[in-house]
Amino acid sequence: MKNETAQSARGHSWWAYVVLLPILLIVGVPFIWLVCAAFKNNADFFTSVLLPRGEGFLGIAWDRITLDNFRALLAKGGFARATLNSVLLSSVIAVGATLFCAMGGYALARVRFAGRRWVQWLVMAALVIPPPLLLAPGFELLYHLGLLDRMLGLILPALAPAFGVYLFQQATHSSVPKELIEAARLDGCSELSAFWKVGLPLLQPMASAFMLITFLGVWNNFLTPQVVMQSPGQFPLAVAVAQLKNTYYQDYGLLMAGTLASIVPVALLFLLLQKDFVAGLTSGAVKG
Amino acid sequence: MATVQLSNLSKTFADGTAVVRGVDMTIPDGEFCVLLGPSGCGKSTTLRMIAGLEVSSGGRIVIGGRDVTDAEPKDRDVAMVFQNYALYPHLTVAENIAFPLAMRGVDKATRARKVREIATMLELDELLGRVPAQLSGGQRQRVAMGRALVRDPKVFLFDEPLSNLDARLRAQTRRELKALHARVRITSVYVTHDQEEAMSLADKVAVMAGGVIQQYDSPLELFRRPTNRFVAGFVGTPAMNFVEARVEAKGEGKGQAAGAQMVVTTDLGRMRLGAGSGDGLKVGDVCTLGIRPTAIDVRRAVAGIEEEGEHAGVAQGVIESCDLLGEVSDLWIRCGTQAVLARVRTQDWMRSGEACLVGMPRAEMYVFEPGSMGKRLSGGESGMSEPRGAVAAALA
Ligand SMILES: Nc1ncnc2c1ncn2[C@@H]1O[C@H](COP(=O)(O)OP(=O)(O)O)[C@@H](O)[C@H]1O
Ligand SMILES: [Mg+2]
Repeated sequence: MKNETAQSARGHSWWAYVVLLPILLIVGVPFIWLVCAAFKNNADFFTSVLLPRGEGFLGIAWDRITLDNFRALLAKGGFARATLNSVLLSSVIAVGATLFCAMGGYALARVRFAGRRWVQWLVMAALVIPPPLLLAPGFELLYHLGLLDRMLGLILPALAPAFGVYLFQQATHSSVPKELIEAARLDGCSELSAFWKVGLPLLQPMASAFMLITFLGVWNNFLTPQVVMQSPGQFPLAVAVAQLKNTYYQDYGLLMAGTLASIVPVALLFLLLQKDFVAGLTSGAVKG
Repeated sequence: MATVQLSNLSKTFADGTAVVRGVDMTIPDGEFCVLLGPSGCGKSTTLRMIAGLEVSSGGRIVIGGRDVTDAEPKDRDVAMVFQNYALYPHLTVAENIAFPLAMRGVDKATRARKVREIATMLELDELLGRVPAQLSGGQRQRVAMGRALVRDPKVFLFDEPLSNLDARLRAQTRRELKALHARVRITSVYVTHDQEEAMSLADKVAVMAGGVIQQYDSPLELFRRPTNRFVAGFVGTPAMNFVEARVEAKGEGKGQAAGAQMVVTTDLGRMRLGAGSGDGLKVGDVCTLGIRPTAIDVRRAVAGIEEEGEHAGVAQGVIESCDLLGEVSDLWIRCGTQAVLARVRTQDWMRSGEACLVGMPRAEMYVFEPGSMGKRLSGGESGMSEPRGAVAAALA
């Protein structure tokens, strides 16, 4: 019996590789292309697919590999500022949105309060509206609030996404049993401390995953900052990289270096938090 | 230390169903009270109202002289053990037990000392560093007890705390719980649908049905003098036998044969009941007769039972099934249209298909008003009667 299950497990993972390998290729090739392009000069950019061919090891002209693109990138003053903007925006929104969504979802799932049904409807309604649709009215609203071209104008609207509230409501239903909250209330917790001491720790896997997703989303968001921000000093990386494109002359190497530089931090972050992330996605299944 | 008083307590849920209706009871300081009743009768709801987890729709709750009807759960100073224990899965055993203290701002050193005390008392010392997922059902139950005990609450509330344990562990934990209560003497309210559990644990049992307390008495009183047919049928194992009856003759205490003051006809034949039976019944009235399986005499058909004398009636029957329990056996006996359960001393001839005589001792007969909630009119007056049937067998 034992042997059989072990075998079938091995067979299973073998098939997983067959399926995953083509996907990895599809996802990986453009990325490899990007990395190569970032280290080539503009002449080689057009003449070679990956790295320039030559006499060196593996038939590659290693001497033509260059860091010039990155030097040029650093020379452009706005780039460091944009990185800082991105880090700030992404962190504040990721932490804030996670906290508020967790609180909102938890409250909808476990707290009885007047108007609960209305809030629930509001969340569901907001869920079905595609975000791009809100761009124009959002712009108008921010204009009236005087928040255009200010960080707050990007942060405030992103702090309580309906999707997050809904996600945490489901997570609360599946991983925060009602009895635990009741036990906490009897043990001396107020509504708020029951959330902090019992609710949030049990939602932690979901919170980690959500924080990471939100961080990535904000980091990669190009459209919203493009609309809300006007002065170049306020641009996050995604916008700043796009601005590297010149109207008359395209420095592709520079563009690729900028793109690479904007990907690396989040890739590292993802690798760092990968475990929590996966745990969060499967938290419903793991719970015994 | 506190007396719990419920007065006219009721609960109607938003969907309009009245689940608890006018519960009145006083649980004296230090007493162990059990709420007993079939599933869905409103026991948990009553308990949760005492805890403050459910808002009452009417009536008052007073704990230790303080009206807590509108108080928050945390301000009532009650501790509860849940059916599934509700341990905090992200905290260790020690942290779980210390949690109520931490929430009340008890300093760390005192917390640690109290946790050690409780752990020793409940034999949890070895487990303090584990998380609930690493514990067995019995251990989780003890941790839940520890968390309730640690802060000396005024009242303990239990909602079927043993129902998730296997039979052996349940019996053991029941004994431990009893010993624990004898030691700490904290007023306790315990919810269960298991009448054996109720009888063994309680100082007093409140039998509930349909959101109403049917009877609130000591276990023995409940068993001997059930207030109505429902309580009689719910308390005691195996459950009491019932048979519908119609009054044929009723003596006024003069001119009738002594000890046969009321004659009724039933599906089990004619029965002559003792003096004072069926108070208030007139000739032609219907009623329900009850007799406990342990009180019934069963003889082999050939042996015969004196119809007159101590028996109200003797019916002829055939054994339908025989469950051998050891010293005693449970016999399902078919007497015409009526099936009767008898728990008797095991004898060799008792096999399904055997003809037998079923004797119903006059002193053991109960008379109820008709209907499933019919009031007890007579029976059980004599207190504990002579041991007979299976009881005698057990004593022999
Ligand atoms: N929140 C609720 N809303 C509506 N009905 C409920 C609710 N909670 C319990 N009930 C109903 O109330 C009745 C009594 O429930 P409960 O007190 O849990 O019974 P018990 O503990 O005696 O089995 C049940 O019929 C149940 O369906
Ligand atoms: Mg219940």
